Amino acid sequence: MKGNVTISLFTTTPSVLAIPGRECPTCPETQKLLQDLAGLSPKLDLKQYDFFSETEERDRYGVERVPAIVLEAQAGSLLRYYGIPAGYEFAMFLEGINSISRGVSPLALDTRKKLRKVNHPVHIQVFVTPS
Amino acid sequence: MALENKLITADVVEIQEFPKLARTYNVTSVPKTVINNVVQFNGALPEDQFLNKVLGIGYRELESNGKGA
Repeated sequence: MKGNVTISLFTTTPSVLAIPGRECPTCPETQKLLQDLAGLSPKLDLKQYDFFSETEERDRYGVERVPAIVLEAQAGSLLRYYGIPAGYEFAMFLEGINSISRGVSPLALDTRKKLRKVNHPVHIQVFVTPS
Repeated sequence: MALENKLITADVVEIQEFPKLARTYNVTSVPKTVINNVVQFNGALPEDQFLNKVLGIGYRELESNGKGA
């Protein structure tokens, strides 16, 4: 890794009472996964937020559900992962971290130049399953 | 692509954990990509085709008076 990467993890805090609509069965596993990952490199900084109480950060990153992992690039753009990045998706997640750390995406130079012309908000959602 | 422009935000959503979302967007196979709830396609696209879809949504020519179209 080249530069530091901040990983912002949004989960719910487990409580004794089960509140309908606030369940997050994969939050503990996602939290453990990212804690283990962050422990592998001093360039990874894991920040953890509670989705329901830390609303300023939640709104700043536009997080809509949990578990959510937010990676913020140098340009200020956001990559959000909803759900635990398991299986093949973990490799893609690591690639995202690596790209942010290097400060450049793996896209062709021509593609990168044309993307800088984008002058209206673009929200890309990719639906996946771990495999 | 999100790394190249602050106006581009990318979400990866694991649909097994969010089945309601999968139904909302009628996800029947993966990967499925939805852009601004306007453009959607199944499977992976070559980089240039994906770029064209993003530019189709996110790039608008400026009028001569400087205002967007």
